[in-house]
Amino acid sequence: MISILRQRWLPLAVFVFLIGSVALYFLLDPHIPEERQTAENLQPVMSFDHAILVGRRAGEPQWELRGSNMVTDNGDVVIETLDELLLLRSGGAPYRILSSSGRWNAQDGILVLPNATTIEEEDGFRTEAGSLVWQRDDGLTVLEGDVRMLQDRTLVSSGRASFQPDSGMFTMFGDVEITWTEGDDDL
Amino acid sequence: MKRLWFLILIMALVLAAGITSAREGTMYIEGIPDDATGGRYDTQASIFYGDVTGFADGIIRVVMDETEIRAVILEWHTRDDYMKAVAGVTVLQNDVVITSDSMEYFGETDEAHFLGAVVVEMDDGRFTGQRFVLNLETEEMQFFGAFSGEFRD
Repeated sequence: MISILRQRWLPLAVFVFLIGSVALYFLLDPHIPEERQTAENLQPVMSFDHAILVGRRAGEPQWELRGSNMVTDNGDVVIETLDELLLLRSGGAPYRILSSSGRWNAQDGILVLPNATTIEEEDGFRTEAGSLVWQRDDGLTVLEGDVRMLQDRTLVSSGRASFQPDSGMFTMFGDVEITWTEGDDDL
Repeated sequence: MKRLWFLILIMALVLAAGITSAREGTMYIEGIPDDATGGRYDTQASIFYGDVTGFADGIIRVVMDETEIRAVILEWHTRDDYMKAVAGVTVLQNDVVITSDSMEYFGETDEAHFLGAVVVEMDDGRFTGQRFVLNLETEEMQFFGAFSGEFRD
């Protein structure tokens, strides 16, 4: 008798179990709506007006980045209006880097200035380039696009160059033209 | 008397200008691939270093008026107006071609000093020796030590 009942109710029990499982799956759905998931992963956006970022080593300021309008973007700082970057030196006047805008990656310590850029120093050193990449850790500055450096009545023209502010060494890549005159210091 | 003093003053000014003025010129570092470096400049010491020894087509040329200096390794002290070239040194000055192991140029006196395996080629002769000085402005030549020469008609 029991075995007859089992044979009759078994398919029904299996059917009820399957339907229940499906219903439970939808009731306890782990799926998060797409818009909610995206919102949870988004980094908070911060914007700064007339902000100064200061880099220190062993407590001593090494550089200062001044921007009129800066916005965070996935860990980077987008400098929509760059006022100046000062590379401070203990033994001399700072190098002053001027450009229109840029992007600062704090984690890698890399500043990219994709537009026309100028490096100035009060003793007369001046460099112009189409773009600039500055590496915080070793201080290396890579210049590209019609690089022109002027110092002591000497004008250096090169397609690409690098500059090490600590040592003051300016390295030119590819063919180079160096002109010296007795005229003024205008580039 | 006034005219004499005026002439002396003018002469002194011209002389002073001649002593203090450095030559204008252009240095070319050529035959270097775009991703390689053939020249560096020490902005603190104001010294250029050019070295194209690793490049088959590499050459450093310095052009100052009628003078052209060619070298493979060259160092130029811009503040002191002093230049030193070694390896493959050739200087062309009008119809004179000078080759040597090394050359030093002193802007203050406008003199080029050649040292080691010096060969001076001119239209009418060829001279060889170990030391030779050429004044680039006056083209005055000085031979030092043993020198041999061949004259052509």
